[in-house]
Amino acid sequence: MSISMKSAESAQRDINKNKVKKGLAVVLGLISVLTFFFLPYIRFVFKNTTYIVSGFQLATVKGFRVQGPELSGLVTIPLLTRISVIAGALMAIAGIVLLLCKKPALAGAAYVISGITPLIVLITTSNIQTAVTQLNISKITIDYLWPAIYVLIAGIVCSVLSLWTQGTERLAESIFLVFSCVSVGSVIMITVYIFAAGAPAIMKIGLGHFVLGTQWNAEAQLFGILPLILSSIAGTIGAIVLGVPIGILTAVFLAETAKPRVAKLVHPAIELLAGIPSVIYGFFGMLVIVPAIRNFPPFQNNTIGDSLLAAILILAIMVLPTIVSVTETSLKAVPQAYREASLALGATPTKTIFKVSIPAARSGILAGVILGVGRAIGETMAVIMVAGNVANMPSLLGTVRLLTTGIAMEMSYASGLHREALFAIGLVLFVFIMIVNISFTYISKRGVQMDAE
Amino acid sequence: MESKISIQNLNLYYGDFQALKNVNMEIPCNKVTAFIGPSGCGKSTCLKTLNRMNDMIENCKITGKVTIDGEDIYDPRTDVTLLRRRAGMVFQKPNPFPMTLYDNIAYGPRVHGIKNKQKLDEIVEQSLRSAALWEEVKDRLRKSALGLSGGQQQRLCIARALAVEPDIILMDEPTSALDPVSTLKIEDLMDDLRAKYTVIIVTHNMQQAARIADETAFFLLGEIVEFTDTLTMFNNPKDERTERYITGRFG
Amino acid sequence: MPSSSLYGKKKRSSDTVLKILINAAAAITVITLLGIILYILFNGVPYISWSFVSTAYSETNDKLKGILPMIINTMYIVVITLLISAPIGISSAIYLTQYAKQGRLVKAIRFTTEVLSGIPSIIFGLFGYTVFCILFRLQTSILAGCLTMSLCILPTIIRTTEESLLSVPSNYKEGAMALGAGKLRVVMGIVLPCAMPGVLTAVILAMGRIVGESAALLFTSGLSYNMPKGFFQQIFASGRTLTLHLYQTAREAASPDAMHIAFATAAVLLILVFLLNRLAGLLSRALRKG
Repeated sequence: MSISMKSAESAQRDINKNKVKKGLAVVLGLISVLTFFFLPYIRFVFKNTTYIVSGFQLATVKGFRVQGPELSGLVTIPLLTRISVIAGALMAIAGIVLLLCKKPALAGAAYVISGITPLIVLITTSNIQTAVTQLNISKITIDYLWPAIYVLIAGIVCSVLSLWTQGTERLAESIFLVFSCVSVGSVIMITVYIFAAGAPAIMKIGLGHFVLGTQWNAEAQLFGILPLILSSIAGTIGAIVLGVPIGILTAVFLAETAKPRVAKLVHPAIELLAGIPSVIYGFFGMLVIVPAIRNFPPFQNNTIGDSLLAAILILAIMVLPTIVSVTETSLKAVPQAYREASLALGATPTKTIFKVSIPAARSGILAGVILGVGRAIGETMAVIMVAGNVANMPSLLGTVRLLTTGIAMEMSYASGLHREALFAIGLVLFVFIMIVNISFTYISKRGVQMDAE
Repeated sequence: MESKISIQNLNLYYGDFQALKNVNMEIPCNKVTAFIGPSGCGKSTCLKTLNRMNDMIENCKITGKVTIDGEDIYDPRTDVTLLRRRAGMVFQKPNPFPMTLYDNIAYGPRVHGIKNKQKLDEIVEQSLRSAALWEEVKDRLRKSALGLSGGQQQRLCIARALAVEPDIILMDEPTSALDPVSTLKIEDLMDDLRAKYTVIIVTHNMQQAARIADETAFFLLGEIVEFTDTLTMFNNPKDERTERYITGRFG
Repeated sequence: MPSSSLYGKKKRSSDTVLKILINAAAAITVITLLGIILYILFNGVPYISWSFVSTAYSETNDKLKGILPMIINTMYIVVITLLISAPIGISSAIYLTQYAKQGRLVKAIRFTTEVLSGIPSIIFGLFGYTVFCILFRLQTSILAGCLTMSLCILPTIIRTTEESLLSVPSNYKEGAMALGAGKLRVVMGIVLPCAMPGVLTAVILAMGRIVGESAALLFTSGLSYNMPKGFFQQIFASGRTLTLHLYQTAREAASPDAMHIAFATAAVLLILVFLLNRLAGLLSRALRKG
């Protein structure tokens, strides 16, 4: 039959194509290995001396003899750099071998790792900078020459070719899979880095002194963030207490009581609110809300305006769109049958909303509140512009600094332990948010379980 | 016997479409009246005019008079919530609230202002007994109503409607979504309900009407073709169209 | 059985109060929104001029107070961030919806995407600073900012693309596969094009978010207001965006003109975000009909 002949022909063509791909991958891989070792790889420029090294030299040579203005010394090559170079070459060889042994998937993985090694070399050579500063040389330039870039590109190309020998389908699936793992990888990286950057300060200052200390004074090396923690909590709770009821009622308006024409007008308004950049909220707060608070007669000139209250007001406004849209969606998802049953029993439409629709939508509403809480705790720019940013214990009309603003305010000029302490605040904030998210999710899941019983 | 509900010259329009044409009916007290007829002929619509559930629909217009115990329910002075308390409704698909059984039944009384826990307990038990459900669920009152079977859910809905102490019970194809066993249980229930309540049931199942109804109305294209006691309707229908429907030649 | 009359409408005060509250809440929301928008536009639009939008910025020269560099920087960041995150996000969504079997890997990807979407932007900024600026030695640069923003925006793209892909009717896929088409061809040739409107809308909404972002860029792409020196060079140079320009100008309030500049910048930002929003809305409606 002609069909089977055709498939035999195309099968033969596929095999030939595969041979080409394999051959190409092997050849490129070999060149990669050679490049690693014998071609000039990196150029280091120390003040007046230039060293151009190849991979082989990076791996084997002890270090660079460098002449500083007064001292001269041996700048050693970091161990990790040596290991990365050797690993890169080994992985390239492994890739070639695995490909010839008909294990294309593993070959692909090996090639990719070999291609990444130049990046790791880049990262690890940063240690050289610190060694060099000890010799009073302020800066070194590290240039990457073409061979290094070739290794990177060859690694990826060889990897793609080896995976391709299994057919376009598997290649595409592998590529999609690799990209999907970016979010997993980045969360892991972020967690690792936040902890790595924040932990040292906490260990130096002491967890108790840090979290429960009430004084934040960088010059005096006092790093207590209790005021920041309490202010963040106060701001978030205030924003939620103010924003959630208004948000839910507005959602009720949109989903249940408004005439369709009116709802069509209000809807885009809410979407617009959601898209306004935080700095604009902060700007508005700074120019309108802060003076309003300052001049508000009942406050009797006790406040300069920049205050926790201003932060709460602006955070409540920012949290509104989220609450409204999530609640509206949840209300619209409540089956009409429940409303009919309620009305048929003699309840008014309004009672039906509050006694049937809203309870039925409660898990969705809770999810919206969680999102709102996340937004409020994490907001930085808008709060900086309205809260006064002095690290006091929270008082409604007094200036406050939150965890977020605490980081942003001093990051630009902090150094040493001060800077490490700022990273530690980031760590505390991160842990906080994780706890809030996890506990809320747990509570909402338990709520759903109880309903199902 | 005085009629409980009196419908006079009722016409109903959904926008331009006339769903009910000149309906006239006197529905007797403490009896089961069935509305039968093919799909889309206006039976459910007519039922919903009795508790003004049609008010929910945007372009719905009504002319004519519907009176319960002599009072026109479309009079502007009418308290609709009170009307719906007097005329309870059970829907085709059981629709218990996503709450506990107790809260489902207590919903109606609570809405109407009863807060006393003891009274509510009594009402819940009484309603469940009247709906022949008490024995089956008395130990799981505080569990979610959604865990019941279809037939039990429908009986729960009946109990929920009974809890507000209506005079009239309107049932819109209450057993069409249920299995035969549950259907029979509910038909038995309807039999018992007639003693205290006026029951009006819409059904597309003629045999069901024949089994339980005292009076039957045959609807066709928005009009009442024939309205008489069930025995006469099924054995000796006056109108030719009725006879054709009953013998299954259409519908 | 209550045999009282049906007549006599009861006045339910609790209902009226609730109705008033509902309307009041909606009014508060709308009035706040209109208030903010009108305040900014009122005070800002008068100061927007062609020269404002096309001149460079200098802190010393009074004649150079334009926002052209900021506009260019913002565009750089939007385009490069999307170039990085859109392929990654769309690929992830494709994998999750078309290829993956329900298992630990899928759960992990979903969970981490959720986590990523909850992290505040200042923490992304810190992370970007430590890793991209210092470790990868990019220093404060547009590229570092773009890499950071890609992480911020990835969850949004993944989620919205997933929704669009899932809304493609399964019979399209089945029909194509029954004709013998390979999975990749089905996904790229049928499912993805069908989901395109949703994906494009997601991209435009992402653009809106990128334009409005500030905290993540503060430490990663910096505050430099210099005119870009070269097309590729700018990627590795520091540069402030419109949002950070607004922030900086408003906080410093260096000169009496500063507020005018700030308002004008704010107005430009608002208009830009509006346009992107409208574009997304129009696009999704137009493509849905076609």
